[in-house]
Amino acid sequence: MKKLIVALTAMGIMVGSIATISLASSERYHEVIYQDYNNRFNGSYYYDIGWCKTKVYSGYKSYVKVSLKKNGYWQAHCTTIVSGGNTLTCYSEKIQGSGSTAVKSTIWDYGPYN
Amino acid sequence: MNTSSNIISIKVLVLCLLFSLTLSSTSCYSKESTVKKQTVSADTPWYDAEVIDFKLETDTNKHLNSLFHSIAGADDKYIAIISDGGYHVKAWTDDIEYKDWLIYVVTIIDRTTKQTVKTIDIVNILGKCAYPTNVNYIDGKIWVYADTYHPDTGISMNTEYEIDPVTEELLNTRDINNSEDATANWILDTYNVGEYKILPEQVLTETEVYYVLRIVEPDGTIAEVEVKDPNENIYVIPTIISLNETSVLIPAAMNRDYNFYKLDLETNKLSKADKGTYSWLDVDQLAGSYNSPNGNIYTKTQNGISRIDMENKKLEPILDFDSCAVNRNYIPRLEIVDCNEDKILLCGSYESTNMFKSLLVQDFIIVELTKAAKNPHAGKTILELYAHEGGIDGTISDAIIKFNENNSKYYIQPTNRYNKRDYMSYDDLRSDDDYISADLKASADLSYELASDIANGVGPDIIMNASGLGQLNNDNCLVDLSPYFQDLDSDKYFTNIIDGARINGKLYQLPVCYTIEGIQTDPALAGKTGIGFTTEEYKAFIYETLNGTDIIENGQVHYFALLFNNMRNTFINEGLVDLTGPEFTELAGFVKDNVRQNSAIWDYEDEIDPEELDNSSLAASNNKAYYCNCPGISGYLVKRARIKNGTAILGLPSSDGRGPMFGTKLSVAVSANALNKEACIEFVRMMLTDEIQKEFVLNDNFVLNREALRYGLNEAIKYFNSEEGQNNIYEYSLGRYVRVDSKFTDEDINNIENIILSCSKADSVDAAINMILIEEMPAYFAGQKKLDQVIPVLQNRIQKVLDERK
Repeated sequence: MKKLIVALTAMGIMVGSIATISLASSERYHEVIYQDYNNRFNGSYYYDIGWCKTKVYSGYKSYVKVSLKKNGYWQAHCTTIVSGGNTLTCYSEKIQGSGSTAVKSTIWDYGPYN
Repeated sequence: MNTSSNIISIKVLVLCLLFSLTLSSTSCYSKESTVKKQTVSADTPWYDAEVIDFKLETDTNKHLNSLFHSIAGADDKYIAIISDGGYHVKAWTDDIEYKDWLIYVVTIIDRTTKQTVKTIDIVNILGKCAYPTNVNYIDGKIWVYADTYHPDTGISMNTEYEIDPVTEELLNTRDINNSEDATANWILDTYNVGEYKILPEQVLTETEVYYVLRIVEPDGTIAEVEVKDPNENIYVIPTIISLNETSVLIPAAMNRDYNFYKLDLETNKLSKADKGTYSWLDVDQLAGSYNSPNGNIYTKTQNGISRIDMENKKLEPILDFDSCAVNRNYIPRLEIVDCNEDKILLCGSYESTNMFKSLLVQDFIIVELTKAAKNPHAGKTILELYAHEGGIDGTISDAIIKFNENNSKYYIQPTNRYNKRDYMSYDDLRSDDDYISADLKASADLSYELASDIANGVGPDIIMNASGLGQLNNDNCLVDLSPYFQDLDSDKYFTNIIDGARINGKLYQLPVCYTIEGIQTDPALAGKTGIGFTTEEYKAFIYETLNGTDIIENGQVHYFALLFNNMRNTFINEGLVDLTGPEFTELAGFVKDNVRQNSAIWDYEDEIDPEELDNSSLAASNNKAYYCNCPGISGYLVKRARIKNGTAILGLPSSDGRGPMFGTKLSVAVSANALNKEACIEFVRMMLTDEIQKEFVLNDNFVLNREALRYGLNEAIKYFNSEEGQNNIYEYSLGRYVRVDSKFTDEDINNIENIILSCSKADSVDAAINMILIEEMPAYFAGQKKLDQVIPVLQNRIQKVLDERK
């Protein structure tokens, strides 16, 4: 299974960076629409969320893992399967305290499923 | 946004899969047959296959979140496999380290014995600051790439670690680049060319996409070369091709086309190559290519492996995937890890046929192919297998391999020489009705060719998934399978499904997996029979429950043909048609008074965001009932969750309120002129074995074996009640996976079983008769003719067709 990496976003840059990856036709079925990191407060504590909005074309399936880098160390968060025709926004699990520096989406492709 | 158009567009795909109608123009084909014997030639190459299912042991005391495998590399001594995954972490606190949750392991397997000789814990070797991202096994060493944080400086670097696979000693460390540079990526592929190592990296900015090649030179210094085009983005460099020890060819996929670059590794000079020189290369295929240490480049095609002959500018086939006993479904997806034409090593993940297990813990396979001195099947008679709709899935592929290994005289070989798409014209299709008509004609043309070939002894021996090709259902074309399946126990098998597939008492095509066609809704809304509707009851259902919007969306003629087919055994029996009874009049009157003349025209628009579709009013309106051709367990459960109390699938409107029909998803038949009927029947019997029935049901099918069905339903419910499964249930009407919040129970298993038992008959459309109905009935529906004027014409025409088949 091929592994693809999407560019990271640094802390504090709340930019909705549009990253479109158009791949060779055997893999031309991913589109990372939006990737970002956000820091939230739920009334009790701050926590970080990494986002990756990924579109997978009909007939294909991918696994997406959003990782957040906090204080130099990567933590794996949302892991999910994105299936054909879906646009999925993948959220990380909550981590207490703020201070994330980067977010990265790792996409593994399962290739065509039908 | 027109959501209904997207549903209709998706319905085209569904119709493609499910509607298979035939038209019999004439049935005059010769009964004489010239049997053409074909045997497996001794000259046909064969590769013996060693297939290993790779598994990594993990800590069973922890919850495994995900585990994926990939190949690091191989040589004559070892195969190195990377396992990358993680355990579940309840709460991410600052004291959690990689060793607490991260799985990053390299397994060293002896190439000859295929036994694991070492399991190297990379996390342990690299220490607490390094996050491994990739591994290569080259020149007998393991090269790990990791994002390494330096707490003293606060800087993170992409770092290369060299590890001895035998001693696990960390031999060398080299920083490549700052991993937190705005556009930096983790290191993925590496290419060894002579004494150079090339590490390509795609760079994404807000405005452009290009590549940077990091070149590790023989003295260890690192040079950088940008591969950039001033006018276009470079999206993919699928591979790097060695031209010699110091120069490479770089194919690049641009916006709309391909470019080729040459790089001199001694001078780092990049130049654009003449595109025309390399136009013979299919760049899209190069993503799966392999650069052999002997200088050859091998690439995969759909049918096998070829060597790229740069000198003569062509692909030289060296392996046909049919020349080995490896599942034909997944072998094209494996990576070429090593290749020297007599010995080929392939590895990769494959999608299990089991749809009810976690996709986050992956299956991985190692396949070593060795050219055999002689073809073990030489001399065997070839039985040709044609799969009409749906192709050959993983389970059938395995069954064919098993048959071929065990049968000493016969060899099953799939064929793709018949294709309905060759007869299908997609021009001028503007509605569901248009599509059905076009599909009818295409099926008719194909089935005529098939029937002629079968009758003349040059057709396939085993025919799968053709139960919708009604023209074949006679003694001229197919064997009556009844004698071979007459003692099936109805406690063990759904014998009502087998009986429902009979034509005039004969079983021409055994239904192995099937769909359920009907109205999924609240059982309290059923008519008096409890399993369907009379036409009066359905009329009340439309206007009272559905607020006047029928969920069967066909126009009058196709709607009528559907209801006619549902009650076919009332109107046609033992080759005689009788439309004079009250049932026919009732059906015609119901359609005339309650069904729109034509189906809706499709309205093509740009691709719609599926998230918007989920929230559409169309989705909301289907919470009362759905006209379904339910393809399997997940199809039933997803609708059951969306429709209020949607536990029943009821029959279409009829005169007697009968239960639903079943469609045939996978069927198997034997040609009346098969080269050896007994051998073919042996394959048919395999379809009903417990082992294969279980595989089918885990692949999300309804099956004949009742115990296998219950087992599969249990597994399905367990999976769809899990967090992962809730987000991955297939919504067949939308053509994609969705999230479902409902929890399913044993009651759902009982309901499904009862629905299957209530199925009345197979939906085996006879296109010849359908076309007559479609031609003659509109005059009645439009009020131009009375029904008693149309009936004699119908009877006469239909009887003629039936008589021609006697």
